[in-house]
Amino acid sequence: MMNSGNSLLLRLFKSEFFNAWIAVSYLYKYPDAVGIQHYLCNELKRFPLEEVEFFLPQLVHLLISRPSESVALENFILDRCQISSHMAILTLWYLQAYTSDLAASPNTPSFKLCKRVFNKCQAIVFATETSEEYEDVYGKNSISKVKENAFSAMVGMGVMLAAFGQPLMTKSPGQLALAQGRRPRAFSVSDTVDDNGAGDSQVQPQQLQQHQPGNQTESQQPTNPTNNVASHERGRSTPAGGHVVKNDADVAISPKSATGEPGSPHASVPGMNITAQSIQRNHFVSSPSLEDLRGGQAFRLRRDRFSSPRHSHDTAPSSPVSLKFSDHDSIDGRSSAASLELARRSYFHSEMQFLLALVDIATRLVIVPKPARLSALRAELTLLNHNLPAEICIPLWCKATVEKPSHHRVVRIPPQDAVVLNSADRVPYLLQVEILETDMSVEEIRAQRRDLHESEDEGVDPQEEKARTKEVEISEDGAIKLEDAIPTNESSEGANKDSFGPTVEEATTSSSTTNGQPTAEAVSRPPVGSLADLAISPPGSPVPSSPIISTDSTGRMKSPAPSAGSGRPVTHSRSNEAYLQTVLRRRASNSADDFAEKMRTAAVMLAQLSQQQAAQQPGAGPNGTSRSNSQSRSSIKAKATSVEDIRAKIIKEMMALEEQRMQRMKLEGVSSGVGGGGGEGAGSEMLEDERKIMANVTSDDPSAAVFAEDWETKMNRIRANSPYGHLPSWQLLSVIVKQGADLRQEQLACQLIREMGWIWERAKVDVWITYMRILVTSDNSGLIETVRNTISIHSIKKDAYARRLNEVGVVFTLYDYFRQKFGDPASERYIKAQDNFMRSLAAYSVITYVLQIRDRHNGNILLDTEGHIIHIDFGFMLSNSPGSVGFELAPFKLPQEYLDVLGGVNSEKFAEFKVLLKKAFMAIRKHTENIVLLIDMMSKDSKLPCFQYGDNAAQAVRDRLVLNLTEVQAEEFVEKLIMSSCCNVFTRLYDTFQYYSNGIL
Amino acid sequence: MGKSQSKLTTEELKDLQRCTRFDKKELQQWYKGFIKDCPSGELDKPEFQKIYKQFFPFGDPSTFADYVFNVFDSNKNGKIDFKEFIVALSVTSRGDLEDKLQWAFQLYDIDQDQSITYDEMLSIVDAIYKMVGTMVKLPPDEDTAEKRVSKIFSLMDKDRDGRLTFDEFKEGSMKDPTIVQALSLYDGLV
Repeated sequence: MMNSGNSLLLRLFKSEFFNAWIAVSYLYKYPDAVGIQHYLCNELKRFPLEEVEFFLPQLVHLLISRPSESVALENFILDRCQISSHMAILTLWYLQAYTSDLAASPNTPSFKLCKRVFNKCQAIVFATETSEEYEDVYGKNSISKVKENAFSAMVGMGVMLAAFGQPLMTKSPGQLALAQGRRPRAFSVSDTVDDNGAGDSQVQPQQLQQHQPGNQTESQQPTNPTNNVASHERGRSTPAGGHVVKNDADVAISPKSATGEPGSPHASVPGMNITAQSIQRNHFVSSPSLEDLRGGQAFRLRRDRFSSPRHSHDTAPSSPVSLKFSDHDSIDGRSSAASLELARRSYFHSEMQFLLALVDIATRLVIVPKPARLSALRAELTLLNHNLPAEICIPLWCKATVEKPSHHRVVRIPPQDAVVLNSADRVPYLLQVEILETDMSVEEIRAQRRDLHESEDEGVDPQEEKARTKEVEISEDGAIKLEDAIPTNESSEGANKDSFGPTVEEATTSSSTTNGQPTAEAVSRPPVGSLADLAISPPGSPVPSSPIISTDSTGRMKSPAPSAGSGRPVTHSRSNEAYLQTVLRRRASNSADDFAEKMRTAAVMLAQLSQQQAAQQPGAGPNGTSRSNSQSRSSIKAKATSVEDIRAKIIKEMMALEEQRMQRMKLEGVSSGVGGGGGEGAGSEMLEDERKIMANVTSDDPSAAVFAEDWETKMNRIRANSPYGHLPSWQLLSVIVKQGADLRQEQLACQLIREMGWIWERAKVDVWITYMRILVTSDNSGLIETVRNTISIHSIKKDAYARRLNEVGVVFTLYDYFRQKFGDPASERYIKAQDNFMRSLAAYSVITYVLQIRDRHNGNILLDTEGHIIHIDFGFMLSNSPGSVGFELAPFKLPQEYLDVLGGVNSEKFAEFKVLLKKAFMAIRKHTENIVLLIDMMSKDSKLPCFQYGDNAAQAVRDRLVLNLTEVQAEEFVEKLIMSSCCNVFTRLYDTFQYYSNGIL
Repeated sequence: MGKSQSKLTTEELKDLQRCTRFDKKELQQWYKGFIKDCPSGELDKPEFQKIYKQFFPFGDPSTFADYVFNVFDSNKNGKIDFKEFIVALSVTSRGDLEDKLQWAFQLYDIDQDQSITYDEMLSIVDAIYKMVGTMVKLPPDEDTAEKRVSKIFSLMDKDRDGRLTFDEFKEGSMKDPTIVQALSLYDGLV
């Protein structure tokens, strides 16, 4: 029979070997086989969502890069998005990244497909508009009509004919015919590509228009709530599973077609409206405005924004995230279902806004002068903190599953533990995020917070208490001092108050008027907060920058005072009840907030300034500044120099502010003398640590000190100082926020490493690796998990030289470090660390070789406190390598110092290393296809740098795994790899090169 | 019916409006969809089989596809054209149950003598089983085509003459909710 091949396939699919991996690989192999696609996607639904989530980057890439006849994959992904909020958010971000990738070629099938799925996904996430597409996604039992797909209709009718013969056999083919039948069709004049649907080529002009000016349309964008609700209600009131009366549909559509694009009678193809409006990034989400952040409500569930009044808070669940849409048509009252849905929508909104806020901070920091960045960052985070706790989780870190939908809550971001990681032209930063693994509502959490100032309700041991008290002083930095300063200075500061107060007040009040618009936060556009617009609006005047305290006068006591003094009226001028509540409950003093606000204001103003400057360049986008600036723009143009002046002034003031803060911190730190920041560390050691932090905060590399602190210590310290630390479900996450970098390649690398780790685990090869979570939030931003208790080898060496651990002129090697850190090579500690080093080195050697991970200088190699080596930074792998230097020719890095740690080439440990490395290599070789599939699926039309050189990255991986050799030959091959890596001259050369060109040791 | 042309003529439209339950706009839309999928305006048996193979990759749908083809091809010229297609679609999506059953009866009544013999039924059911293959788990008393056909006749052949008349066919179908449901696949969706 002609079908023999496929029936074999079915046997495989039905066998016990069948798993998610096989399903995905055959999805990849049979892109156009409609039936197979649907079958596999159906099967995939049986696997736990986490397994599917692992493949999500591949699945999305497959979907977008290879538009096919079949709608199975698209439906599958969207279906999973409905079930899992994590999946929905991750998918939305991926699609957003792809939308940017493809924006240059809007006529390709891929772009159209991407846009379509993006819109659908957005409809799931925000449940914004009722349209046919929307129902398509929702109504499984389908109020959604089929489109004019003749072939699938013929199959569907055939299936109906078969009903009599065997009705049991018609169910799934019937659904398949319907699913395929719903593929959108476009019959527009010019289109020839069609095929994959996207019935919207005629909307193109409109979209482009919206696309180019970026945020110009922002003001119309926030969908007007009433509209929203109305359409929402309409959607609900359609009887579930009921049949939309044909005429009804016509009525709904026809008015739009009247306004459709001229010359295109079908401009009203259903679903188009949503397409036209919502293709922009972050349709409903933008970074919260300063006012929002101040108000402490930025991430609250905002049912009021979306809901009609009858949905009270009470009917909304505390845990909206676990909802499934499928219950929308359940009989038990649609109002509760609707309010659940509203809560869910609001959750998504908060969640995305939160992450966007984090990313935007990184954007703003770029403009802040280096020395003030840390303060600016902490200031920003202090403000952000006012909006926490919130019902927000961080996907990938969050352990919630479909079965156990208990999401964690972000409760606090300790500002003092955030650190700026300066890089060439970007400012990523590291922060700790406190979470609670709990279902509690924000109100419940708030009720349980402890006041660290007064309540010593639980029995704390004195040392910890001492540590805590001291920490409070430090963590509040200027706060306490400032508070003390208020009474003494208020009177004497009277004159000053006059000069500062009004300005600040004016700025604030006017900003709140702006924000009086109902959807202000949706209007305000990153990276510029709304306050800045107004604060600098009279650019010529001498006052504008004075919310920042000028410090030129007396001493250090003076500057804090005005900040506190002027802070008062600001507080009062806000009429926001909720804010006052927050203020009252807040343990920190106002002055700390003032500092934060001032720093942030300054940062925002800087951002605003540079944007305006950019706007003056011809061709630069004059967007987002439509409100108050429009009137002032001309005057700004006239006084370009005065802008420069302001800029200089702001920077100067920021520096001054920072200077004082440092001054205080230093005094505080040194004078407080005894006791460490917490945990176990002996006092003196902690003190030293602190000095180191002190020395480092102003230096270029403040990260080193922060990384140097043991994770446990840090966690305990932060926990002790957190108002939520006493709650049993308290946990700490550590992430790096990146902006200006596409993390998709990093993510691919980490995914591959993880897959290799699983292979080794299954094969019981006792190597060691670690895996970092990478959250891609767009094509140029995201979050990276930090590896705990690690420090780069570069930092180790730098620190060693700085502290003169070796005699002058003697090279400090990793071996020295091992002895210094773990003791005598014969000691138990050293041997344990050496073993850890060996097992991780074996794994990472195979990994770097197989994936051709390049740029392996010591800044990219970490060592943890147990001796494990860890590779990070995968900007160069597979086909690309650092441009100017192509001389990293060794299979992997195995310099003399590594050999020394292992005890030299003749040692037993080295022999063990070789055996282990061979085993690890052979295990990967045996499962080559697992690795290759992941790479292969990502490679087509990829924008990732690692696929830009060399035609076939996947085949190259196969080649490196020498599949053509016998086992014995392969082992010999690995032996050769090891020997040629040993003390490879090129490795040394590369390290030397890095030293001379980048100062990396 | 016209070969490949981009739109239906007024004449054709009028004719189609008479024999279907679609309005002009719908007819034009479906015509465009049909031409898109099938630019020549006609579909022959091999092409028709190919479509079915796409949807039933794990079985052999060719025989069943041929039978279905014959039902569509009402003028028996070996081609399915737009009119034949849209008339069928009208019945299946907007006809009442009796219309649909009448239409379906043609499939099983292979020799068009207004009754379905055991052999005719077996040919069709066998073709269905071959098409779907082992994809669906069936109850033991219907897990082969023979068993299924025996069951059909024992339930529906009231007069035990080894033939199903349309009335027996209709009565039997109406009694079986799964059949009724399967026949409502396109209700309200087209």
